[in-house]
Amino acid sequence: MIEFRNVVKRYRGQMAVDGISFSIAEAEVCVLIGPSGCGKTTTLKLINRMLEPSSGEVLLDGHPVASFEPEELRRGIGYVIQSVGLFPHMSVAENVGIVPRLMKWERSRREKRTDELLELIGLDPAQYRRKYPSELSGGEAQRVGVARALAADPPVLLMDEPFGAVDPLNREILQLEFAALQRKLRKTVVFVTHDLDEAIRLGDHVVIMREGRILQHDQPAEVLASPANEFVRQFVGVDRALKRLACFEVGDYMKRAETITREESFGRRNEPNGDGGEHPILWVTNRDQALVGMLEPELNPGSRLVYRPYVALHPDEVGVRPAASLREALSRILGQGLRAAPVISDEGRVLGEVRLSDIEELNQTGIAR
Amino acid sequence: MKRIGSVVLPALLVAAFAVFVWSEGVRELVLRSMFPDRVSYIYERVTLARLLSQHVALVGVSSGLAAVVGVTLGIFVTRPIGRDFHPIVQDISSVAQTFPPVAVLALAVPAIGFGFAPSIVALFVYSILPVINNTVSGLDSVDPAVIESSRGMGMKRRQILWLTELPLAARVIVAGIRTSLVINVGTATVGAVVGAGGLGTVIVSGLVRDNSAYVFTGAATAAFFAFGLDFLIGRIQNRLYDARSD
Repeated sequence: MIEFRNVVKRYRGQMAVDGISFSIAEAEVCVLIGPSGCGKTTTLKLINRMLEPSSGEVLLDGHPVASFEPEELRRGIGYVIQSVGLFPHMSVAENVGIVPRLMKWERSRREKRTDELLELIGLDPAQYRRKYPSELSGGEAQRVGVARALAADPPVLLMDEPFGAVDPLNREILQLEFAALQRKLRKTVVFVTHDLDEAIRLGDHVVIMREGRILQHDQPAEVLASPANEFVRQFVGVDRALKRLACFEVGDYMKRAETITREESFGRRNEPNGDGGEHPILWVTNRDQALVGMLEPELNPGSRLVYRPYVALHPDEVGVRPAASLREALSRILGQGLRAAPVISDEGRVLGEVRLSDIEELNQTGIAR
Repeated sequence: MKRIGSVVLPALLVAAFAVFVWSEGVRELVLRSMFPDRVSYIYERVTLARLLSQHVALVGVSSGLAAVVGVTLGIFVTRPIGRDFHPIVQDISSVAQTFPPVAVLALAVPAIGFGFAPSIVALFVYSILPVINNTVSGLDSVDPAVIESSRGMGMKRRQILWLTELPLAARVIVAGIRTSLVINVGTATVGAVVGAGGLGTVIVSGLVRDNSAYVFTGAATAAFFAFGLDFLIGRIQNRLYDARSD
């Protein structure tokens, strides 16, 4: 979808981008990351010709971007700008509708599209249409910025630190919303950030840059498992093993869980242990199959399998959803001091469990390479 | 209560003003009560309505020209092609503003002569300065990030100017035009000395004949005209985008 071929960008003798070549596939989120001054924003702006390369070329869908009129090109590429960049003198609706207006859509079509987008980003059109950017919270303004970029339904979206100006709590909410949106819309997204957790959470691929060069271009889990060099190793940090767990979904590592009803659990305190091996936790469910508690076997069972007394559990405190990351699952496991965490549905039903031993194994195989 | 301040009161004032200008009987009554024992109360050579319309023409033409030329110049020096003239224009306009308006008019007479046209030129030259000044500072104060954002949305240069820069700078630009207009209403009275007509005519005549009723007639009419314009443009300004509200 997007391809860089030996692209060089010099600014007043400074090398901003130093001969990079890479490509971004359709419908993937490619995150450009690196310390400030590494050329990530410059790289982004070369795509919609906000900047022109000193040499080399950028291709969009096989065509050099230089072959398009710059304004036409930009109207066809969604752009979410650092520090929002909403037009302060225009209402939310006017902001969202600006690109359709430049493309001379009819008013009725524009208004319909604007309302549709406001709904998509979770802002009630009736309430927000007429508001001005100064009346929005930081998070709302960011959402409007995303809606504006999506207005003309462009296949490509450029996002330059879109959530950088928001507090950490709201940033996480915006990231999750964006991830959900992207699953639905499947745009080709180029995303610039300096926040590694954001890159891991959102990126299908991560491009780590430094001094205008690409140091590593890989899937987030690969970058964390095997950093290409010392700089990347330091950049991703000593806790990369933990960060890497954020790349995996619970649903993919879920194992079958043993469930019993409360009635069945009454007799299960002390029974023969046939094989002498370890036994799983028994998740106790009610009539609706919702998690209510557990029976945990003593460690190191001998010939007799001994269960500890029944413990009542709150599903939201111990359980993880299938879409959660293994990092979250690990935190639940450690927090409860158990060997596994139950995977639960939105209704609290037990779907399976994630085991500490599986996480350890995944960690060792990945990092060892 | 709000409507009384913003609609009823101004309407009443305008009505009173119109009666004062057009009805000589009423005007004589008012003036007689203020200045007893004068030989005459009504300037007999030209009607006050005619003087007022001359005054409106003087102010309208000079300030209209100043607004159009000033805004255009201001836009020009903030474009890439005109950037080089930016400091010169700013310097000239800030120095020139320190001259008193009467001095500008006095200097214009030997250069251009007497009458309506030279007065227009003098008023234009003086009143263009606040317009240029405000246009330049209004456009300069537009956040570069918003312009960058406009570019990123695919606006052409002309669209950036019309859709982003001018709306954002409008309030400051209109403030410049407001200053220019109000100054011109006052300065234009001096135009009578150089034969341009207008409300200055009756003031000058009053001064020569030592008739304070005449002086008051011209001064009060000009003052009301200035207040009215100021009020009107203030209302327009309030509808424009205010950078301070963010």
